[in-house]
Amino acid sequence: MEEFLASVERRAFRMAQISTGYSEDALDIVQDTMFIWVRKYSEKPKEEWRPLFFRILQNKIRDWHRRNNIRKRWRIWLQPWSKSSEEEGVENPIEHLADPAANDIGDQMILGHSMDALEASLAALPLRQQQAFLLRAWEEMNIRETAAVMGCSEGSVKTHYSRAVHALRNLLEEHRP
Amino acid sequence: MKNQDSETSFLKKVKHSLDQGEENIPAETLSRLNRIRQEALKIKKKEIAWAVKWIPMPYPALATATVVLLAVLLSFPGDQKQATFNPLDDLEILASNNKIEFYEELDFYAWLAEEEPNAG
Repeated sequence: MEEFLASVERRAFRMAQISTGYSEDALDIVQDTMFIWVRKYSEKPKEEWRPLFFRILQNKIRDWHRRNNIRKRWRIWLQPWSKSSEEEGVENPIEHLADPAANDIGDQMILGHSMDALEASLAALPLRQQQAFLLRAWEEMNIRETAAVMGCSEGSVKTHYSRAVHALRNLLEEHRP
Repeated sequence: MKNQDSETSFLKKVKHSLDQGEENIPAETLSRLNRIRQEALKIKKKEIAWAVKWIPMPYPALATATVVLLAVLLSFPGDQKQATFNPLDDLEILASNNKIEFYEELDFYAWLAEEEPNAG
């Protein structure tokens, strides 16, 4: 079991880091994934370990994006309040939350040293395209495995993957020096 | 053909870059990943320890508990209607591949449902 977890942890961390843009959040996601996997699925046959692990990981990443979107909505909703309180010199606690906009491709390009053009382009893809691409092209899963991990049909995987490849090629072309 | 070659070459380059990124994870992060893994494995060890603790329960006590449980269960026949076997239910499930997949993955959906309240 330890050997299996050691074999997937780096890739899992990098997938979460590319998707969220934050190392700390990526570590939290990997931790949650490992805990759930050990508790609920480590008794399953070994050949099911990998797809189950990545399925939990992808769900956790999706949950992170959902929470982040809610945070974004609150940020927008609180903006008028935030402006008036700034005028009154009141500190806004929302300012201490991680800035989801920092995941924007432009910002990532400026931050450069930690995120090269490829990672920034991957981060800019819609989540489902990003998942399909990383699982197919990097984790080398076949369409059936990818569909099982993503919890969608094989046809959807093909569509997401093909769009991801097309978008990535365009994005990387744009960022070519 | 040319397009396919160019896509293959593009994907090869992308994979190479991603592999490099994986190789270059800072030592501190690797050490934290190692700690997370050890913590996760501890959960399993704790579960095993808990199970082992209950295995040496004296056999007579176990046998008595089983007999009492059976007696209680048999004295309350429950809803006979619910217990009846209905082959039509199984037939309905077997009739569609999608449904079988759904039933096979029920535990995963249960997990998703459990995760939902924490999502916000």
